[in-house]
Parts: sequence; C-alpha cells; structure tokens
Amino acid sequence: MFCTTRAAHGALVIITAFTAQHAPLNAFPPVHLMRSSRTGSLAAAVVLLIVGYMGARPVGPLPPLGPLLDPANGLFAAVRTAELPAVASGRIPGLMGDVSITYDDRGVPHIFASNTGDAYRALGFVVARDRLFQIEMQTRAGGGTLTELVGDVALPLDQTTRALGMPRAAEGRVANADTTTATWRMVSAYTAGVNAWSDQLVRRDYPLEYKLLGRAPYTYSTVEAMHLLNRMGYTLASSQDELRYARAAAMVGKEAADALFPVHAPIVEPIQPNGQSAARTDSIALPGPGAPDPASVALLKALGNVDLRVALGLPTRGPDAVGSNNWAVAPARSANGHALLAGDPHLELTLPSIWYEAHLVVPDSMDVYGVTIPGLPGIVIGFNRDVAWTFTNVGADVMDFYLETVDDPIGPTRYMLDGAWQPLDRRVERYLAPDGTLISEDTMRYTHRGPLRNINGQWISHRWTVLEGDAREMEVFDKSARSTTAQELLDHMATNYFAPAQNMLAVDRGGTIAIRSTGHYPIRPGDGRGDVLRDGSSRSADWIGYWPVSDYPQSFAPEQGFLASANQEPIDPRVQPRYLGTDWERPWRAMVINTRLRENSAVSADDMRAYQTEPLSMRAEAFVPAFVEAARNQPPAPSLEDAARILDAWDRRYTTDNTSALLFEAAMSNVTLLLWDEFQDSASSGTTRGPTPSDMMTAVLLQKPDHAWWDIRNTSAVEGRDDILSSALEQAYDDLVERVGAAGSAAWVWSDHRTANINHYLRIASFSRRDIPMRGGSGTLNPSTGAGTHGASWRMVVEMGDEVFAQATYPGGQSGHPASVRYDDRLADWIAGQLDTLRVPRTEGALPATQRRQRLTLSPANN
Amino acid sequence: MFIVRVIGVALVTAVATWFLSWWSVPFVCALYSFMRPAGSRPVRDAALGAMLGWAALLVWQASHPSFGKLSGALAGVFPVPAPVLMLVAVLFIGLLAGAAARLTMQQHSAVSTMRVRP
Repeated sequence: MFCTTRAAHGALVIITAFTAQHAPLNAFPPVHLMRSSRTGSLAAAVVLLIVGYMGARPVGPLPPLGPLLDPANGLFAAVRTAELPAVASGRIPGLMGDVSITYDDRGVPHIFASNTGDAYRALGFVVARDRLFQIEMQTRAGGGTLTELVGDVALPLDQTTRALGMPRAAEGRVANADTTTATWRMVSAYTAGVNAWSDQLVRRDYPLEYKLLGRAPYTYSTVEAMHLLNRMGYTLASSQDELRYARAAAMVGKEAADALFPVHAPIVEPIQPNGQSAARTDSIALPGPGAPDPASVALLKALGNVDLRVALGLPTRGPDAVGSNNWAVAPARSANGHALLAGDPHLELTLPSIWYEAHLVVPDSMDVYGVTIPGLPGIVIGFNRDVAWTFTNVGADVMDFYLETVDDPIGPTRYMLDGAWQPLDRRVERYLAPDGTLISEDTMRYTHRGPLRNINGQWISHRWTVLEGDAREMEVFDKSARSTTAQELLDHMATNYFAPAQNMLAVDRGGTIAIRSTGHYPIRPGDGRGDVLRDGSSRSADWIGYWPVSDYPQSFAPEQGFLASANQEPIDPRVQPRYLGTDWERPWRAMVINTRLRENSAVSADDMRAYQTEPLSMRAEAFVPAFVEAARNQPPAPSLEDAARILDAWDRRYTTDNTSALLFEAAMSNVTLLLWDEFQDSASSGTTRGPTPSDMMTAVLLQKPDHAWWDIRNTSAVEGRDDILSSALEQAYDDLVERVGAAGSAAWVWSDHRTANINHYLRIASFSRRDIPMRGGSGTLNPSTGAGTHGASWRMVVEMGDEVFAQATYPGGQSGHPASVRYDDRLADWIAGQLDTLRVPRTEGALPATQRRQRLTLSPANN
Repeated sequence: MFIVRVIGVALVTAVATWFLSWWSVPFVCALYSFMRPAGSRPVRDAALGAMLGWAALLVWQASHPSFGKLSGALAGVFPVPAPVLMLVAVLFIGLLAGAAARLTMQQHSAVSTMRVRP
C-alpha cells in the first residue's frame, strides 16, 4: 500500500506540475484576463497539492485519507468481507489434492484433506482468512518487529522482546532445524497456507486494521511460528522478581524473609495426589520482623533498588496474573462411566480471541478438534477420537539472572569467567518503520548463558528455558493430534516440549486420566534455588542439567479417581522437596475444585461445566469467620457490628448480584496494609517499597493471634489478630459507605465493581468489549481481579465415551472482523458460563445440513 | 446534457476507483477537463461527477447488511459517525476532482490560445 500511496502522491504532483507550468508568454490571453485565471489556477494547484498530499500521506494522527476513504477499496469496502461467502474456492501452492472445508453453524471450519500436509496447508489458509491481522500482530510481537507494522509507538515493546533474546533464539531454531523432518514439512505447509490466502488479497479485501493503519499484510515465514511459541513463553513467564527475597531481607532480616517467602506453599493441595482428603496447612516457624540484612541492603543499593523483571520488561505476578484450571474425572466417579476432562486456560482476554477453533480430518491418519493459536501450526488444546488434553501453566522458575564482570562498564566486549576473559557475542538489532526506514538500533551482547543487559550500571545476564528449545517443539502439536492414549500423548510431550512448562492433563477413551507437569526444569548448583541473583564470574553458577522426566510432578490413573490443577505447587514438598519454583499460586482455586470432586462421586459433563464458573471462594471461607469472630471480640460499635453481620450472612459466593464481596475485598486490602506494615517503607534499608507476602501466609497467621507480625510498628499499643481484623473491617465498611453508598444497597452490587474488559489488539474501544459483569472474584475458579483484562480464554468439557461429546466456548468469535456477527457471538454464553455443543463429524457428509453454513474448496495452485 | 455529462463522469470515476484507486479520480477529471466537451463547465461537471460516483459507491456499501456493525465499529475510531465520514469522503473527492479539472482547464485554454495565434 505504501507503494500505492507514494505513486498516488507522485502522480498528483505531476498533474500539478504539468498543468501549472508556464506556457510561452504569447500563448496566454490578454493580461487582465490572465490575472483572474492565473489566480484561480494557483488556488486550484494549492488545493490539489494539499488535498492530494492528505490523500497520499499521513498528516499528524491522520492516516492517508485517499486509501482510507476510497469507497471501493477503503474502510467502507470492509463491509463486503465481514462475513464469509456461502461458497468459495481457493488455491494453494504445493497442495497434493483438493481439500474440502465446511464451516458449521458456530463458524468452525471442518477440514477434510487426503493427507496431513494438505490439512495443515488448509489450516493456515482458513486461520489467515479469519485472523490475518492477529497472526501478524502476535508473531511480530514475538519477533520484536511491531514497529514495522504500527510505527515507533511500539519501539519499547520491540526493544524488550529483543533484549530478552527471543528473536535470536527463534532464528537459531530455524537455522538449526532439520528441514527433512515431518515437523518441518508441517510448518512449511502451514506457512504456504497462510501466504496463499494473503497473497491473493487485493487492497479492498484487507482486514480493517490494515486499512486503518494504512498498511499491507506481511509475508508469513516459518520463523513466525517460533516467534509465537516464544511469545507464549514470555506471556507465561510471570514470576516473582529475583530480588524480592533480597528486598524482604533488607527490610525484616533473612530469617523473616525466608519464612514469609518460602520456597514451598504453606497450604498444600498439590497437583500430584498425595493421599490427603483435604488441603493441609503445614506448621512453619515464623520468626517476627528482624533487623535489616546488611548484605541485602548493599546489594539493593548497588543495583539502585531495581526490580529486575520490571527492568527487563517481563510480566510480573500481580492481580492480573494468568491463572488456569483443569481437572479430570475417571470413569469410576463419573455419571456415565466415561472419563471426563475440563480445562479453562486463563490468559489476557483479547478480541479477536487468542484461540481459533478448527477440526482437521485426514482419513486413517488424523481426526483432531480443538483450538489453535493463529500463527501456530497445530491444535494446541483439544481432542481426537481417543484422547482429550488441556494445559495449565506450571509457574516453575525457569529463568535465572547472573551478575557479570565485564571489561568495560560502558561498552563491554568481554566478560570474566573462571578468571579468564571471554568474548561477548554481539548482535545489532535494527528497528524499522513501516516504510523501511531505520527508527533505532541497539547492540545486544550475549554471554554463554544468554542476553546481557546493563541495569543501573550493573551488567546482568539471564538464562531462560524459552530460549533453549528447538524446532522439534512444533512436533508436539502434531503428535498430540495423533495420540491414542493419555500416556502416549504425555510421553510425546515430555520428549520434545521445552517451554513454557505446562501441567498437561489428558484423558482417554480407555478411561485413563493422567497429568504431568511438562517442560524443562533446570538443576542448579548449591542449594538449587533460582530465586536469587547469582555471581556470573564462575561456571560453577551455571545450570548443571535438567530434571529427568521421572522426577516431574505427575500422576497416571490415580486411586482417588480425579486430578486437578490450578497453578498451585504441583508436588507435595514432603514427596519432592527439590526447588522447582517459589511464590506458588495460592491454592484457593485448587481447593474449590478438589472439594467439588471429592464430594461428587457421579460427576456429569454438566457438573464440570458448572464448576468452571463456580463462584464459591475458599479464600472467603478461610477469612470470613475470622473477621466475624474478631468483630464479636471487640467493644460494640455500630458499623463494625453491621459489617460483621453482612459478612456472616454472606454465602462466600461471588455472584454478580451479591452485595457482600465488595466489603470482604476492601477488608482484605486493609488487612494487607495493616498486617504487613513492616514492608511499606524502610528508611534504614534504603528501600521504599517491599514485597507483600501472599494471603496464604495471612491465613497461616490467623492461627497465631498474638504473633508479632500482627502488631503495628508505629503505635504504642500491641495489636493482635482480632485488633487488626476488626479494624480492617470497620475501616472498609466506613470507607465504602462514604464512597459507594449505604451498606448492602444496590451500589454495593459486585458486578458494578468488578468487570471483565476484553480489548482489541489495537486497544480500539469500539472493537473492544468492556465493563462486562462477571461472577467470580479473587481466588475463585473464574477469577475477576485487577483491571479485568485476564480470564478464561477457552472453556472446554470433553466426555470420552464411545463417541466423543464435547462442549466449549471462548470470549469472542471465530471472525477477526469487527463488523462480523462472528466477531463476538460467543460472548453471551461465555458470560453466562454456558458452553456450546461442538460438532465433530467424522466425514463431510456427517454434518447435518442444518448445521452447515459455508463451504470452501481448496485446490492445488498449479491445476 | 449537464446531467448526462455529470453521470458520465460519475460512472467513469466509479469504475476507475474500483479498478485502480482513489488517485485515479483526479486523472479522470483532468482528462475530462482537457477534452472539454462542447457546452460543458468542466470544473463543475468533474467535481459533481466525482462526488456522485463516490456517493453511489458509498450507498452501495451502505446497503450491505453488515454496514450497521461496521458503522458502529468505526464510530469508536473516528470522532464522527460513519455518515459524516462518508460526507467527508465525498467532499474530499469533489475537491480533488474540481482542482484537477480547474488546473487542466487553464492549461487547455493556454494551449488553445497558442494554437489559434499566428
């Protein structure tokens, strides 16, 4: 398009120049007539130049108006591509035979191909047909080339991506890939399919976003899939900062920091069953606040009290942290005697959705249904006729930081290793504008561990499993699609899958349920901990291998008859004490699932569906009685009594219409501030903000009512648990009455205060869906927290009977076109916690006519 | 004849826009002005014709069932509703067409004068 706009601009200048040029003097009419006509010509030339310029070139925030307003090819032409035509055909280079695709009444393409390569070509084609702009956005985000699409506004994002070493790793994978393998053929086939769609587009067919940006689609290449996989690794890399422990020790001493930020979760409800019938709260030694640790203070001062992960642009674990659930029920505990599986990966909510639903059928080879990520060649989560599978994030610590010694603090070329200088690898990163001009340039340096960054004058390198996989990782999607048992699927994954580590849950038609926390977990020297900044000047700080698969948290056909994961610590530390990570996700969601599965010995698919939006909070179950008791132990006060009455009457369910959750959340926030006042600031440690222990630790402290942590430092009195809880509750009540309205009134309705916000990739408000009332809160299975930008990105329930029965939905729709009815047609069901029954025809003819909508036939391009 | 000329320009600009792009319109109008059909007022004819051509295309797009949704979506992108955006499009092309025609007319007059002078 840029060529077009440039050409248009040039052409207009030519018209103006040719027509306005001075003709020979004797060619002009008499002077008095010439004056007026010359003035008119001059005015016309000015208008032509100005309007023409605005038509061809961007002016301020305005894109070029010509291509935008062009009624045949611009914005308004997008109306013609909003819906798929009833019948269409296309051609793809390299296709071996015709591929028949039928779209069902949910907009899902059912691809019927004669061989696997053709199926993946067709998959690339249909995904690009519905989500081309999303493919480009996501892969560019992973490749650090967003500036080439949206301009220098994306420069900081691209710089972060490249500084993390992601594009270099992706390019390395492609360069080292064995191009003779089936995996590579699959990736190449998908690439051909995507490009076959985009290559035949003319400007009027471009997705709306391209028209708004004044851009044309890029050419997808095989490295894009690697970029996308890296991007997923980045998204799921949320973890606590390596300096968190130091920051805590600098404020309250090492002993207290060790206790408050333990390697293992104090409430144990692991993924790998441990024979317990309920969550276990471990008794832990909990020393009170101590003197600041001088070594930690010195370290933080040297680093300028920086947050390493923030400095590197990595996602941090906060109220919007991703959190997912999955669980499975064995035939013995299911209503129909079939294995059941449920999964709802929680990610950032976007429009179009991160997922795209598809069904691929190749006779005698593959029959897989599920969701793919646009740009990634394969079904990521789904099922075939024999096996169903889904993931949650492990949250393991797979990224370490090293303080390096370099030869030049400004522009180092070497780093010290075991007493000798080693050369740094260098790579020049160039950031280009959409028109190809250079915006900026960085020189990145690499040690043998990974990228090296200057953070407040200190050179710090990092090593990350996401950068260490190879192209074989792509194989796992194809292998999953062809697996026939849960064991086979998980073994394929364990062999080739590298990162991000996932709790992979699978069930099969034979009735086996199984889970394995799969990825690669580094073995570290010394105490094995990865949550500290290590001295990089010696190889002895390096990883010394990866865990053997036999040590991974896992369970196959457990006696208890069910399995559940919700990002909690995957294995009981009494079973496997080795360091896998720290700051594990709170167990509240896992406790709800396990409670439901323990109490129900005849689970149905509909029960599974209902559990996915279960609004009960185990966090509230743990804290509400303590608040109520604390209030009763205090002298009578009207607002405290009313607040306690409201909480006591609450069923601890975050339904949209309840008026108690708001009070509970406000009270919990106050407890955090009052209880952990030692971490608010500390002049002596030189730090201004400390880490906050999780509410798991607060729950542990509930059992120690007179512990020193309950005391508020700057008061003369010695406060205990009940003082803090009652004070927090009373303050919350008074504050809400003042800010929101009368207690228990309509103004306290939960859905008015916590909503989901699903943003378009370009954050365009009218392409987004915001302020969606949600049922759920912090720690419920369907959490609604923070800015509401994260949530269940896909909900699926599968029953593996003689015929597979599956239900699912996601917040959005199949189409990426904002004017399509399929852009957000699933949103209502998603909000209501309902699922659609999926159509899973074995043959093209098996899909009833009433469920067919569009048809697409793909043929070889050389026919 | 005026209406026929305007409709003629409208048809040609619409076809040129469809097959080429927006930038073809000033060329079409320049050409029309250069040819200057008998009795015509090229600037007026070209501007009105181009506006009519684009308006017709816009009306055709607006007749699509998905236009309401597209209009709603675009309302969040631009500070004006879709019909105003359409009006801007029509004015934009009218200005472009009229200016191109006006310039060409001046050139044409000069060339004609040159030809008739000894």
